[in-house]
Amino acid sequence: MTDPRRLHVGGRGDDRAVSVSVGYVLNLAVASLLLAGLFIAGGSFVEGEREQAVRGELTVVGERVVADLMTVDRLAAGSDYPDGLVVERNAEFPARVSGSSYTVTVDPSAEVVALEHPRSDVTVEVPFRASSDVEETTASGGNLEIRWNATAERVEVVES
Amino acid sequence: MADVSRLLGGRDGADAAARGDRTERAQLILITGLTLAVILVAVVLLLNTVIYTENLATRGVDAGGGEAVEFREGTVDDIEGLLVRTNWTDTDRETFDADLDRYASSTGEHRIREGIRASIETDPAAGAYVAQDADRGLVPSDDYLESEGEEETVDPGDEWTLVEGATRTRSYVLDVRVPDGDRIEDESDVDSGAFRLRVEGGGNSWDVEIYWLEDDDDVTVRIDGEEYDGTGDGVRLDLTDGTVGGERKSFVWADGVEDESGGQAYNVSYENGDTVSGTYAFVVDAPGGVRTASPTDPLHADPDDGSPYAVDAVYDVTVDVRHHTPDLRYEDRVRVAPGERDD
Repeated sequence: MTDPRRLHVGGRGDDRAVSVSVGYVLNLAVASLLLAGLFIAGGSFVEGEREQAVRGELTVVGERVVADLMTVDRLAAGSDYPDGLVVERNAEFPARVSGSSYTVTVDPSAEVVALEHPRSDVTVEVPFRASSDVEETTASGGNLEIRWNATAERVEVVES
Repeated sequence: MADVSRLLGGRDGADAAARGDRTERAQLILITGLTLAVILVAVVLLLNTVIYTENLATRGVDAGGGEAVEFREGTVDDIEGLLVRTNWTDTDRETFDADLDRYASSTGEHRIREGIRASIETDPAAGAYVAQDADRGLVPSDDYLESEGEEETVDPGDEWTLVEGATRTRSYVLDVRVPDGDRIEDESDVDSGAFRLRVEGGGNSWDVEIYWLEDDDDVTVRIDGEEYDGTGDGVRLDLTDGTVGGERKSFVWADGVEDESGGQAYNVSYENGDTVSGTYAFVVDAPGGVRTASPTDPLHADPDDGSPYAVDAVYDVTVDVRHHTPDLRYEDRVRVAPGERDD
């Protein structure tokens, strides 16, 4: 007697139920594509957020440095005896921003404090105005001391 | 659910499923989920540090050094008050020193309660208060003019020196009238006939002349070549503050003579003082430069004896201010001399 299944499909026995496997593979492929898309989107989201975060943090730190620098300058400008004046400002800042270090550069000729974060390639410049001389320096991020140098009669930013 | 083991080349998923071993299934989604979770945690941590840093921005720890400035200015104001009171009430130096010490210690105690280590050290400099309270000619004391035994007779209109060797002067107020009979005809008579206050030192001089021209309604004040009008027959000058009749003018006390650092000694003298009458008062930093041994010297030593007189006074106080907080160390020196020209 002829196999009724054979008659029904009209093909060979090992071609049977192929659509299930194909469906399965397609299912896997679609799922992989979806997940890869999620990875890429998530990764670039983190990258974007990181840059925003670094920019925001450097701006805050820069503004604090500038505020302290101008505080010292203001106290020095109001003094009648700048050669005997003592002004020392201890400022606490995070040593690392977004997991890596940064540098603080004081540029008196351009009247800006530039903060550079090499890993994410972000540079933030905060302008300032000082009536006294300001020393041109580069310090690595972290705790800083902004002080008046009575001998040289200028404002200095040093690491503490 | 997708069978990852098949993709990863593991055992035949159908076999495993058939054996009921379902623990290795769905690994692709599991790993993806875990990775996404790690990414999200990283974002949270990142944003957390941002929040921390921005918190720094709003942490108001004496942002502009305001506390230190306020402490310095407050100290200057208070010591100025003590100084003015001392010179007005003729309190002796010991009382003044004791007042300063008490002020310094109470300020220090008050600040330490707020977590601030503050200290004040003061160094007062002696000076002399020279004044004429009675309305009379701007001439030496009557005793001096009438004194016998002087080698030469003194004419009230002669130039006479009030102070020698001063380096700084403050609160110089001159309130004078020109009597109708002493008006001068024209400006050519100014050099010979007008009242002149002369500040002279180091080969330079600075003059103030006060006169009333016959065809003029108001008294004229000529300061260092610049002319200003008085009101009617009189004028009130604050020479160190730079005002004529209460209005601020552009002249500067002893311009070209007084050195801002106090390095140039000068004399203050009057000439033709008998052509005007009025009062004056000022403080100089030269206690030894005023000649008060009446009657042989032009100034009385005691106000009760008459005008003009010179008494001991405090000229200025040099104050060392220290203000230490955990964030800011501030030490400065301030010289308190109310009524000086740059005040």
